[in-house]
Amino acid sequence: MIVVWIVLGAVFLLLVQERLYRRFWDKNLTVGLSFSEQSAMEGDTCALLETVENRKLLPLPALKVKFAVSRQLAFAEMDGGSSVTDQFYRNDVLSVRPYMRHVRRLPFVCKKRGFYAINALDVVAGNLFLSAELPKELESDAQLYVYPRPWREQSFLQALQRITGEVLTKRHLMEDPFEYRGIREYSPRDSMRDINWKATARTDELKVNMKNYTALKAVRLFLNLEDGAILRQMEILEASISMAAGACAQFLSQGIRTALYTNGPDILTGELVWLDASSGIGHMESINRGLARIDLEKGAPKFVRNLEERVLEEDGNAGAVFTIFISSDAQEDFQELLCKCAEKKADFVWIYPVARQDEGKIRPALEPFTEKLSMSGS
Amino acid sequence: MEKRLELIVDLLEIYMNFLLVVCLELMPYGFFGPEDPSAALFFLPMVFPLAFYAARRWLDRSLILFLAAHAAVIFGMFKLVQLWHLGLLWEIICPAVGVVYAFLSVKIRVTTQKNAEGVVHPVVAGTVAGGSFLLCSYLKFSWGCEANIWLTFAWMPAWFVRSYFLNYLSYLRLNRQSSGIIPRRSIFGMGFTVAGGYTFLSVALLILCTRTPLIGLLTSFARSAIVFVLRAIFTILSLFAGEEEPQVAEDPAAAVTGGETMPFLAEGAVPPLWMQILEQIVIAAVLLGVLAGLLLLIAAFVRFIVRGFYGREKTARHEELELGVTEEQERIDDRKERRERRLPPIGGSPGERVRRSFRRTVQRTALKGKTEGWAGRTARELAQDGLLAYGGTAADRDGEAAADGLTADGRSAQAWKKLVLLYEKTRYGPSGPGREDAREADKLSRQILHNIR
Repeated sequence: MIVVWIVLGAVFLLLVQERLYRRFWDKNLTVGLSFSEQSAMEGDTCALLETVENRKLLPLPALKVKFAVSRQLAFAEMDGGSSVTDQFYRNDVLSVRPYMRHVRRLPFVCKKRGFYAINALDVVAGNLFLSAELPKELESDAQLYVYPRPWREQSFLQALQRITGEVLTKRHLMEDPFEYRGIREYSPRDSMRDINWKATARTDELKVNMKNYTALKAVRLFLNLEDGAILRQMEILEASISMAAGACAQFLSQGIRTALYTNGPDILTGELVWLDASSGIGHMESINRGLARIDLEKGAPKFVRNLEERVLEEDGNAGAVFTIFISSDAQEDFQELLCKCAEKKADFVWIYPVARQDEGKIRPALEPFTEKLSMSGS
Repeated sequence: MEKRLELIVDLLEIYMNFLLVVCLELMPYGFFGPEDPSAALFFLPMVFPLAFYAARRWLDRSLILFLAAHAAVIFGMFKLVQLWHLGLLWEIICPAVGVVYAFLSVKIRVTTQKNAEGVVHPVVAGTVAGGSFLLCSYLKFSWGCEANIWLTFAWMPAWFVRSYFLNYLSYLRLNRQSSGIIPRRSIFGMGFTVAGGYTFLSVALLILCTRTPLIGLLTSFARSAIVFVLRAIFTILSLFAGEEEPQVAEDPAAAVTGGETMPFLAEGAVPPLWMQILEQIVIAAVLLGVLAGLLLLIAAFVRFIVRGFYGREKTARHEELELGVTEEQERIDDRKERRERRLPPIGGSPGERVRRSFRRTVQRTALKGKTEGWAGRTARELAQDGLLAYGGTAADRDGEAAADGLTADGRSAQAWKKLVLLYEKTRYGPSGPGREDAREADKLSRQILHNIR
């Protein structure tokens, strides 16, 4: 009889703990993923934070947190770290005591520009004797923007300086009658209508208003991500995006209104990434986000079909807008469009990134407007 | 750490198999054994597997040495039995067992390439133990029966510990294939603490059951309960049938107990010395465990008091794992968090005073007499409800109210509007409200509540 009681007792205890875990393991358990930053630059180091809160008395000796994340976020190589296709499958195990909050910080390097999101994670708990696994699927809203790193090649920077100089020179030719920059002393070449009579009376010296320069001058940047080659040249397309980011950063730092139009589809909405002209504080952020969300895997639609109207329409605004094309694609229809711009005497330049200097055929009419940049440096 | 655990599992398996062999050994001993059992006889089955395990572990590279070690062990045991003058039967049984072990050892080495020898399935082990127990009972071999029970007690904790170790090792192996970080020590520490406690509880329970009349009491209680239930059922049935309750001729409990005999509990021969020692060890271990537990409890209590005196701080433990991965562990103080969220009844910061004013106003207007609470509703929605409940019209909700969430109809509406703005500033604004805001909120709240009276 004693032996029967003993065996029954042992089995009862085992079953009780199993039932307890099966029923209560996920009660008051919170598991979440988040990135340490909202955005980062290509090549930066960030961290993924796994947060587990166990607000109950039942300890979880082994809690697995499983999720898939893009391989472009390079975590430190683990023994047996599993990476299949374009996803990296992580499986972190935590040991969580009652009423404890665990925050695990997993550093990684952002290898490539993009928008990365973790939408779901699986949580699998083991009971006390690790004899059973109890799974649960949870939602996650962790997301990270990896911005393209602005292109810093010497030849590109020189080209950019030339363009910036041209834009700023033209910009300073016109004054804006509605924007005041300040008051200064009168000089003989000042017009009578610029005199500020109130300030003159107050100081007993002739004072004139200083007007700000016109804000009409703006830069439009067209980024063509079409790839007519048999083999897709992802590196050059990525370089084009980095050039766009670099150019926008340069213009916005000078206070120039900058617009960006691309034929790259947005990874979330599927629509083309277009950002109208602005020079506001958050515009660079918007541009970076737009560029980060361009999905090159899907392939860009035809540039001319989607953007011809926009290119020619805006070009007609009395030369107030300077246009920059960044395109590694030199197909006939694209060159034809640029020829139309040239015929309209529009201010524009075509930045043409190529793998080698001898690559790509440009029409003679377009040569004065073209800055050919070799990726190989030769 | 994993290698050490594997070694412990191997030794546990040897130990468990040894216990089973002792169970088996008790059967022939009951038939042919001398009056005074020799301790050596019962420890001999441990020597074979240990010696062969050692040979497998350290000599597995040289096959000749490996086989020679096995032969030496069998010969040594044979000579030892002869030296002890244990009789012909044991001179046959011991080398025979040795040969079987040696054969198994070689087989394990050749086929599985492992050191471990595995363990007999619990059902088979239970059957063997049960059979041995019944046979010893039949032979009136009382200390053999008792030995069987003690062997079962000794086997079960080992089985729990081994199961846990194996689960842990297989868990690590499975997760190593696709894993990031596994906190091996934490998992093992927590699991082993709980499994150790579980084992300790089992052993304490076993001792309690065998050394006290608890089991007898429980059994008699269960029997009485069964008899009571049967009687009640029978009474109810007989009431429906319209018959008288039959008289119970005899006490069923007594009938059951009377037919059962437990020869191993009867006072028989004096238990062997090794068994007495084992019993003393187990009892001493339990007592030490209880003592250690009490000391730990006292230490925890003192620590609790001291920390309470100096004020508890939220202590976060920072741990460096592998490859730059770090983990912070922090205790969640639920009560403290709730206390922090709770608004003080009087005084407090300006923010708390604004929140309290808004809350009081909503509770006395929008939520008055309603079952639904705050959850899932914005401050503006609650304010609208409060306005509609006292003086506002339904059109207020649909008209211009949609634009800013509230109407501009009447003094209450204006007051609500300002109060909501103050509340929103407190909860979501970059900078908290000032004293003036708190006073204003209190004034607005009183104004609204005055208007509805």
